[in-house]
Amino acid sequence: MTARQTHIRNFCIIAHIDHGKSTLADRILELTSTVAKRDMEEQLLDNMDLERERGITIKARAVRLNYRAKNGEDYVFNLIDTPGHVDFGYEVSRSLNACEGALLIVDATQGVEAQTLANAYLAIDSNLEIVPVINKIDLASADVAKCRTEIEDIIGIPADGCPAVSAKTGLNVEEVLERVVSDIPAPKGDENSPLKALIFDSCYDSYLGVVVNIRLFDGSIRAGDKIRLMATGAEYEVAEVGTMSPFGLTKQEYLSAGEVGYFTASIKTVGDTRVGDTVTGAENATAEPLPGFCHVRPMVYAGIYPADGARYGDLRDALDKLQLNDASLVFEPETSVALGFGFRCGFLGLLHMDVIEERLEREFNLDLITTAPSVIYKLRLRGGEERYIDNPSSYPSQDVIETAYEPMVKANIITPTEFVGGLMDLCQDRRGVFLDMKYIDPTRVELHYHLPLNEIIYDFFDVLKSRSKGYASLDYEFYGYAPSKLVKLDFLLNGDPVDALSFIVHEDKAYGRARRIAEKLKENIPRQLFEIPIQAAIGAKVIARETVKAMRKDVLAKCYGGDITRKKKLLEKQKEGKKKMRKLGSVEVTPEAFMAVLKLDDEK
Amino acid sequence: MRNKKVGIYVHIPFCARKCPYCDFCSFEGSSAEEREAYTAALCREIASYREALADYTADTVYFGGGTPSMLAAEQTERVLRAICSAVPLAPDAEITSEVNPATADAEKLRAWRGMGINRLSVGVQSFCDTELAALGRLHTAGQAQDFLSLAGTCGFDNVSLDLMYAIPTETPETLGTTLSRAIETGVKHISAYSLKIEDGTPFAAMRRKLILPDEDAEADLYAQCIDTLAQAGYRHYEISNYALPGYECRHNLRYWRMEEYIGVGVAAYSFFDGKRYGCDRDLAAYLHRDFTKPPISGTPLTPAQREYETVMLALRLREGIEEEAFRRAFGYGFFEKYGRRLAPFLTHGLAARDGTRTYLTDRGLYVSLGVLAEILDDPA
Repeated sequence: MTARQTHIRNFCIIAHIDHGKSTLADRILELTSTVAKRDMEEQLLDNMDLERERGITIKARAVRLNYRAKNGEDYVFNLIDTPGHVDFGYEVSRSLNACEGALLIVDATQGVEAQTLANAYLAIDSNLEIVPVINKIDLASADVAKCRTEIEDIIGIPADGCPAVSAKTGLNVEEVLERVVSDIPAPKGDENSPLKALIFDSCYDSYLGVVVNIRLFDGSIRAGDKIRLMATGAEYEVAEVGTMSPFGLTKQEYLSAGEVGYFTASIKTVGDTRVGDTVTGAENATAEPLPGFCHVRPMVYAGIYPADGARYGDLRDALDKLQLNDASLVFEPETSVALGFGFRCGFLGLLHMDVIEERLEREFNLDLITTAPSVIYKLRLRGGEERYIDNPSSYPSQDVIETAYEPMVKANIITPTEFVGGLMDLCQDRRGVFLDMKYIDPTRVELHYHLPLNEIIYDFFDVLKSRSKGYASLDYEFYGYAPSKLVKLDFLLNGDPVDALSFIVHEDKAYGRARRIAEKLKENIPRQLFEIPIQAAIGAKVIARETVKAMRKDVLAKCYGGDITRKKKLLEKQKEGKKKMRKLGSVEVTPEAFMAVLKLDDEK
Repeated sequence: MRNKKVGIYVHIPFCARKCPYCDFCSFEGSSAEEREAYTAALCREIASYREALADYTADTVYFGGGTPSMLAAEQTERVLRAICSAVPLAPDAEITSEVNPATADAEKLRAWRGMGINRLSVGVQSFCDTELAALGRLHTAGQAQDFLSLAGTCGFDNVSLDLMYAIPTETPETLGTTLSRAIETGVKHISAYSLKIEDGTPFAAMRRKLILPDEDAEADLYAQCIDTLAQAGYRHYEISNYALPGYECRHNLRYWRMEEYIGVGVAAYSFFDGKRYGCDRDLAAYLHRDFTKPPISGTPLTPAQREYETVMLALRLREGIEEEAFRRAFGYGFFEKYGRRLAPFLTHGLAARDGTRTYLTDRGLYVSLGVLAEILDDPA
């Protein structure tokens, strides 16, 4: 271990959502004097507006901090912030791998939650030293003793004497920093071996190109080095190396084993620098890449269309820009009869989808129509061909399918005991397969289920929260494909199918959802001059129907001499409105109704 | 050669009390001086048309309002005289006055009849007292009934009633009562309008408190009017108008048939010499206008505008549009041009054909805005 290494601490903060991770990061930044208090913006590490507003961290970020410990020595802290949501599990695991230790924050008023557990296990799997931190002790309902017991009993790590802090007020936060020095091991690694560095994040800068965040395990890196990305095989010449301060990049001469920093190499898109990939020397390569790299694949797909068809180009540019910074976002052009030109987009999960949608609307001022999210189904066709389907419109007819498979997840739900019954009903209703149930303590239970992912993306989380008064927490991971009786449900208006409304659903759920959507369509489609039949069909078989009644009054009852100009105006307004109409099959509706229909959700 | 015909509309913008649903141009609390000055201004305006009307006879005259019975009989007579000096009246001219049952007595009715007014349009609205109160009318059902018999006594045998439906608190039963009592009076003509909440009226301000029928209930009331009146022999000849055969309002037909008319007074509109023009609602300004020239203004309608308005207005009438008459006016037949656009409406029973006529059915009339929006060209 070099002298330089002994004074480095690489760590991250992990927590269940809302347990105070970003607030603690802010206090740490403040205490390490890296950021003067007056320059502090709340939750500095999350630098997207949206993150700040939603209180979530979307992209991992790292900062280098300087800390003078009570022993009088100066330390370099590399704090790596990790996303807290289940959608970003892979990114979390890569961030953890860049560290030697983790601060595990537990909210003293909530105790251990599903993601506390999931993150703690990830950290244990990555061989990290875990320092539990009990947070929010300033709140009246804080129960520090109970929290300690939970950490020891549920997670199985000692918590006696772990720091109990209020990140909000700053109380005892200093103690946390001392623990980082004393409990988290310094990095090891041979500066003289071939370069071996882990990519744990990258972002796009319009001047520098892609800025790649790395953790060096062996060797060193400096400008001019020829490097290779081991998973893609791509080679680059390093243009610049440096470290990340809370305010931006600080150029350095070199980075060496144990350090965290960045390099740039005129790389065009973040897609070329995959999180989890290993960076090594082009000529002097390390023998083995770091373990754990995998290609992140989207789990959820949806069509995204501009509400105003003329803004297709703007939407494409916006997606291109977002993709520069988010390699897990994938999209390709798609056309819909109802919606015109748009994109089929793949996301890591529902939150990821929400975030992308909101950023498109907010940062690029786009008005969007998003089709119902779909998972990726696997089909074995007669004749043996295997096909993956992420779009209902490419679902083949039932008679060519031998077996259909749907993605399953292993779900872990932690809930107060009083809600167990309701949540078991929910899982049952969502076709869950019960695995086991464990009492965490006399008041809380951990439930394990296998659940179809398509049930989870369909408002599962909202219902879970409402049935548990907000107390239950959920974590899940992809588990595999299971055979399933799937059908494609189509909706026809006036006899014409509306492609944007089709979705794939389990046979047992088809009828209920068909009924509800048909009813909602009826409520949302304004009356037309003629009656409009609404049909829900599987193949040629209609399983639900409704009717939009014909309009009966649209008239100017009184029209004499003086009124003719007025009547003309009324009529002209109506004709003007007609031009803005959008088509659902052969039915013309106002843009408002069009949006309402396509944003239909049969639960809300 | 006076071979052209014209209708004259006279607007009397005074009311004893303004009804809370009304957005026509009328003023409450007018003084005798104002009404006198207005009568004089009307006469000046009418006189200004004398030369313009050299080729015309007037075959309809219509006093509307407001409340025409707010003028003294003598004032009405001066206006009528002014009309006769500007343009000869056809021997069989239809001369109508609107009248409010609360503002005319036997003396005025006899005077009107004497000066040549031969048709009354009585604003009854309803034969249900609670509904009349809800509408803010000054008369009761009983008074309306008495007034109608008085009109008969005073020599009016061509009487029209104005009714309203879709009013607050109305039910099919109360509308039934109103319709049968209207029929019992033996009037020749009935206008039945659905209440429309107009912006800027007191009703608009209290819109949320008014319990009004929904679209379906209102369409049912409309159908009830058509059925009940048809059984009593009243033909549904325009969206809101019904008449015994031969008693259609000739003056109003001029509007819908794109025939010429001159409107005098504030807020009155004209369609004359190919142009549409009108006067604003400024009473004070009107009183001081000198009318050395007739107030004809604007540019003549283009053929496309004429066609647009013809279709828009003629399809209000049950008689609809006759193929050859349309061809004479525009160079092609109506169905020839619009038939394809009308096809779905014919299929669904909103439009129909009768020999060479194309018209909207009762159901079609009540969604005529929607139908017109589908079939008309863009306004030129």
